[in-house]
Amino acid sequence: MDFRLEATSSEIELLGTRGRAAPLPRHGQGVIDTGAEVTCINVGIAQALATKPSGAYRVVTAAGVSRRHVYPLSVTLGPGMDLPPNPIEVDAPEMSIEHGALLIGRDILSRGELVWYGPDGRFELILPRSGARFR
Amino acid sequence: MVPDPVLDRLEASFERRRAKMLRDHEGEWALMIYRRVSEPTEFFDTQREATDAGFRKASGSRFLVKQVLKEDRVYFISRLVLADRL
Repeated sequence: MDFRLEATSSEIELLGTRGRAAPLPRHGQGVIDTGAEVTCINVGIAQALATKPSGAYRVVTAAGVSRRHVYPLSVTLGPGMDLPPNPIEVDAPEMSIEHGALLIGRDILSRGELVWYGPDGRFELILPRSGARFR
Repeated sequence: MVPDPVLDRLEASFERRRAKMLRDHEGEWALMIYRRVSEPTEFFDTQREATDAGFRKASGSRFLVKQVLKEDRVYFISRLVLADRL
C-alpha cells in the first residue's frame, strides 16, 4: 500500500515559526500487519525527514525484547487517490522491516475498518472522515 | 539504533523522578524538555497531547514523552521485523 510520511502538523508549525521549511515528505510502500501493535518505520526514514525521536519503546519481536527510538510522524495512506484519507499522526518505533518501508500496525487500523475477502484475494481498508477505500 | 545521548539523559532524568511522578501522575504522559530538565515536568492525558506540547513549548529543543508507569510498557511487533538487525 502506498504511503506518504512527513513531520507532524505541530512540528511543521514549529519549523514555520522558525522560518524553516519542512523536509519533503517521503513516499513508499507499506505493509498492513495486524500483528503489529504499533506502526513501525524502517531504518533511515526518520533521518531523511530530519525528525528526532521523542522517546523510546520497549518492543518484543521474535528476537526478544529491545529498546527502539520512537518518532512522531504523520502518515497518509493512498496519497495518490482522488480522495485520500486524512493524515494520521503516529509515534512509530524505528525497526529493520523485511518488506516495505512501513509496517501499518493496529494503532492505524483501529481507526477504521479492515475487511479481507479471502477467496477474492483482496481487502478493503476504510478510514474515517474521508471514507476512502483501498483495494 | 543510532546513539542519542540527549534522549538518554532525558530518560535518565525520568527514571530518577519515576517514583515521585507515580504518586500523582500514574498513567499520564510526561513531557520533559531538555533545557528545562531541572524544572517541573508537565503531564498530559495522551501521548499526542504531550508530543504536540513538546513541539510548541520546547522551541526546537529536544524533549522526551513517556508514560508514567511502574514499568515501561512492552509493545508487540510482528515477525516481519528482521531479527538479525535488531
